[in-house]
Amino acid sequence: MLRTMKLIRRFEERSAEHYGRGNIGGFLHLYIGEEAVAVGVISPLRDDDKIVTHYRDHGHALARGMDTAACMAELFGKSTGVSGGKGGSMHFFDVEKGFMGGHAIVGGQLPLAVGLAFANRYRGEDSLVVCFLGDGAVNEGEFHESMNLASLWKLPVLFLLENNGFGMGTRVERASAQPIIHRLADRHNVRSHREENGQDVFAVRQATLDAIEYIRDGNGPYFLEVMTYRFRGHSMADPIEYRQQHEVEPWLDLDPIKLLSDRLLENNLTTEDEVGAIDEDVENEVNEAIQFALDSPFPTPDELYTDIYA
Amino acid sequence: MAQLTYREAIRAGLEEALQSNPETFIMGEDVGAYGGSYAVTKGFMEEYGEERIIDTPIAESGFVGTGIGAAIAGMSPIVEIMTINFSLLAMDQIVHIAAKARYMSGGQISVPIVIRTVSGGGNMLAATHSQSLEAWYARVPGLKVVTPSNAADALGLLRTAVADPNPVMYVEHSLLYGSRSEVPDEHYTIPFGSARVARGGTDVSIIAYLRMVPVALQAAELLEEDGIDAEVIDLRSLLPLDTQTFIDSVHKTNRAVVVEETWEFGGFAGEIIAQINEKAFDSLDGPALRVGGVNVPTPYSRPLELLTIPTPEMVADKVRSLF
Amino acid sequence: MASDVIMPQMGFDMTEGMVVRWLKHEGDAVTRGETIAEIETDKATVELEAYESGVMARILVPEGVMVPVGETIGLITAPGEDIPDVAAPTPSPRAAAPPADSTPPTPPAPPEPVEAAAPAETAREETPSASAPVTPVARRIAEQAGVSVAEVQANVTGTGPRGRITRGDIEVWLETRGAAASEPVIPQAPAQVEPTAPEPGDGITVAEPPASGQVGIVVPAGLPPMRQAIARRMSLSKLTAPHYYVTVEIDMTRAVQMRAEINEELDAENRVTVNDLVIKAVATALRSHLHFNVTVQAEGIIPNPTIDVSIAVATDGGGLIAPSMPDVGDASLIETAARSRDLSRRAREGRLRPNEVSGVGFAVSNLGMYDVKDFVAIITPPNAGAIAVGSVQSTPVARDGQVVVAEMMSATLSADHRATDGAEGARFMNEIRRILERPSLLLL
Repeated sequence: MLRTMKLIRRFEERSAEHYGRGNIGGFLHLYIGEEAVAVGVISPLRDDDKIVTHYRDHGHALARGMDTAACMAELFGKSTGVSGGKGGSMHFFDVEKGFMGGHAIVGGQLPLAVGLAFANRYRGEDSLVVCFLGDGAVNEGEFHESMNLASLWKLPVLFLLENNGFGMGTRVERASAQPIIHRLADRHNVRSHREENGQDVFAVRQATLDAIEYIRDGNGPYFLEVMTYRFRGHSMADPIEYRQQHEVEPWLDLDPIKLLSDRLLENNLTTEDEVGAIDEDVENEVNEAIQFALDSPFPTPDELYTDIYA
Repeated sequence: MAQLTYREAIRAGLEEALQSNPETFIMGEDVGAYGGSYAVTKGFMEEYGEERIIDTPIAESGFVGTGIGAAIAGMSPIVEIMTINFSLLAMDQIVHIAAKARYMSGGQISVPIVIRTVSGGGNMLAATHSQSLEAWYARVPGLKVVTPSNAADALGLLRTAVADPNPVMYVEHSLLYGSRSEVPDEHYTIPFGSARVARGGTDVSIIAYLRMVPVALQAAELLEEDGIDAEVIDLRSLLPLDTQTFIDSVHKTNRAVVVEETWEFGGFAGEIIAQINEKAFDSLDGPALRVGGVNVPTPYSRPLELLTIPTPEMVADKVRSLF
Repeated sequence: MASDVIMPQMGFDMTEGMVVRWLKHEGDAVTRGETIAEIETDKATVELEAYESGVMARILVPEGVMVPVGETIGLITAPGEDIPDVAAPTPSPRAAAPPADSTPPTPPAPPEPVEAAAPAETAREETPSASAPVTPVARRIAEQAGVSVAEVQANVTGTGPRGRITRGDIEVWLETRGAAASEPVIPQAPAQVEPTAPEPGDGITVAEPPASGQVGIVVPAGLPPMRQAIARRMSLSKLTAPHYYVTVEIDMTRAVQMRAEINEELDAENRVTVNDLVIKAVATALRSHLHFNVTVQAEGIIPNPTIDVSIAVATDGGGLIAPSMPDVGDASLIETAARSRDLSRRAREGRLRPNEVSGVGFAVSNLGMYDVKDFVAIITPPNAGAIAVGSVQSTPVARDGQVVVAEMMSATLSADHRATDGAEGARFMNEIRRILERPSLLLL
């Protein structure tokens, strides 16, 4: 888990660098600070479970074991990318890994998750669908429509709310009349829980295991709200003028990677040398990914017309 | 005359509206504390207060509908939808309520709302964030759709939009915000349905709107080298549509090429060409042609994206094919 | 073993060709590599070689008939071999296939998406139409001029995309036709005849104007489009424009020397030619001889608003075109040279602009490169005249009682007598001579 979190972190730091170098364009929404959520939620999943997510999707993709180099190539717009260079940062897909996409219109992925879960139940499978959403999405009509449908039909969906406190630049309290968001689930008769220790990967993992058990037992959907923090702006273009440094700093102390490695070291579960080796390993993997992305070709003009229809 | 950017001109128009009518408010996602996704309303919240510069939840149908309701109550709201792509979540409210309330109430109701939104691609934002959907709305009776291509038009058209007692879709383009042009100091307005001859010429009429106007003007410069003197018509509003200006132009030049950013198939250019066929057929010295976006979802990858949006070279090539 | 002789593909866009001349007749012996026929395409006349030796057994296509590329036009057999029974090909319809579409190459064509053109439409475009399409505005102008579309199609070669007859085509045709025909519909025409007060001793009988606007021009059948146009225009000119001629000998010694000095300073591709000197001299002379800077039309002698010169350009395929250089009155020598170079190149490539195709402008025709001493040009209507210049030749001339060698060039004016007279022509030519013999005037 430590390695995966470090991989996500380094992948994103280097992505930001290459955004600055002009190798990556469009929107680049970084996940830095929220790594414990992706890893804590995705690590206990089975291979036949599916994931749908929003546009801040790099962390989820890497936590799911998607190929680092192909992810980087996607950011570079290369034909070797996870979506052939057509999707970019916000639209990672890897169907083989059950990764059913980053979706860029807020709330758009929710009904899709319900449909995937509908198919599971219809076919009598016991796999489930994890649907990541942000705190901004709960105010879209689709959120309520999807929660109601999933609950009504007892579909195996884990609605996983990553509450980082801001919908773009607007605080939860200024956007949601009910800022304790998981309570919204009550209105739809959906079991819910708020995990306050979202920076602690073990806590997130345990909360997820509880939710998974509930869903696999056939009880219908579950709504898990995880409290976390976005260390960076909403996107590369965000000047972050809406929050103050003094409120950011306490969160920086809660760096999920530092928390995890400190804990492992304190309990003698790892050594400084091993952590150093992980760092080096991750550094190499990301370097190779960047080299791969740089070396890969852009899609040819013919590819404009492929993949429009099946 | 002052040199203003497109963004500054829109800001000026919004401030005028806020200052002249206490019942005007601005509502939308991140228009307040964040300052607007394209920084158009930056600082407004400090200046005019949270009562009038209102950040909304991400709930397009809800807040656009709220704006429509306030307009029906007689207020003069200006609602911002961050991009025209997100307007699809509010389309029901726009098309079914705003556009039809007056008609269905037998004229009892009017909906004086301005819905500002941002169209266009070219920023590597991929398929869901790069669309030009204004022509969809231009098919809906009861709506007005305006498409300023420069700072002076942006201000003049915004003044008209604010004063109009009907729902107006005021469509901006993300790549135009930094463009600069002369804006008259004295107060002026630009009526809807008045196209502008952006460049006079004798050999071909290039008809465009929004960001395709500067593209058409650049194409005209390229064509100069071929000895082709192109006239460029900026439609300025799609609904109502000024047909007379481009029909007159085609009578003069005998050739027409229509340029738009949206998908060529089923686009607004088809409407323009139909009008030319109906009203200027006997003046044509060749078919009326169009240059539009390639009919694919916009790809993220830069080299591919660049192929999907009309460029001055593509427009010039199309014009040359008429000679 | 019999071997087919086929109409060869001589370029990617050639669709049909015509045997201009069979050099072998049926029964003649043929050696491989020998020229058996001359083939004319719309661009060039080329020689057709025999691919096999033997006997020219059959000629299946007579001279002057247009056939599609790939058709069998003849048969070569081994001596004594039986002649197989081969049918003659069908001549291709006139107006042939449209030229290849020149859509811009930008994004690649989509692989037949749902919205691709309906099959019926595609089929229609590929089938050669019996008559050239006439654009709506060209139809309207024709109708206003009282001319039927069929008449237009029969007489006008379309220069627009896909061979469309455009507004420009029809206007040029109407002008030349107007100049050619003493149109009875024009009310001034009888007045110009002045039947009541003939000059004493004039002795000219004024014939009744022909009832139809058409003059008896013969345009031979089967000509490629460009030759048709040349045939029509030149016949019209000789028939309707009364030509007179004035020749002067010009001492080019100083001009040639100045040109050499100028060219030393210029890159190879920017050099000034002798023809450029002539064009510049003509443009300069026209400034003071405005009565040559006119077009002769039924409506009257109409001054050109600017000083326009047109230049005769031989195209690669043996055709001839005389594109305009509008408004060259104030262009410097270097600019004139650059424009003439550009115009010639684009004329050869078929990339002329609409205002150049008209051919309006006093014409300069130069055969100097073929080492001819002099020749006479035919005026291209509605222009008022043309100048034909030969090559610059070292010639012994008498100067101050001495025989010296000078670089001499002959220039012959062909002028339309309806616009100017011989004495005016002489003065005009003397002005051109004066300018070329004092070449610093070319630099003013």
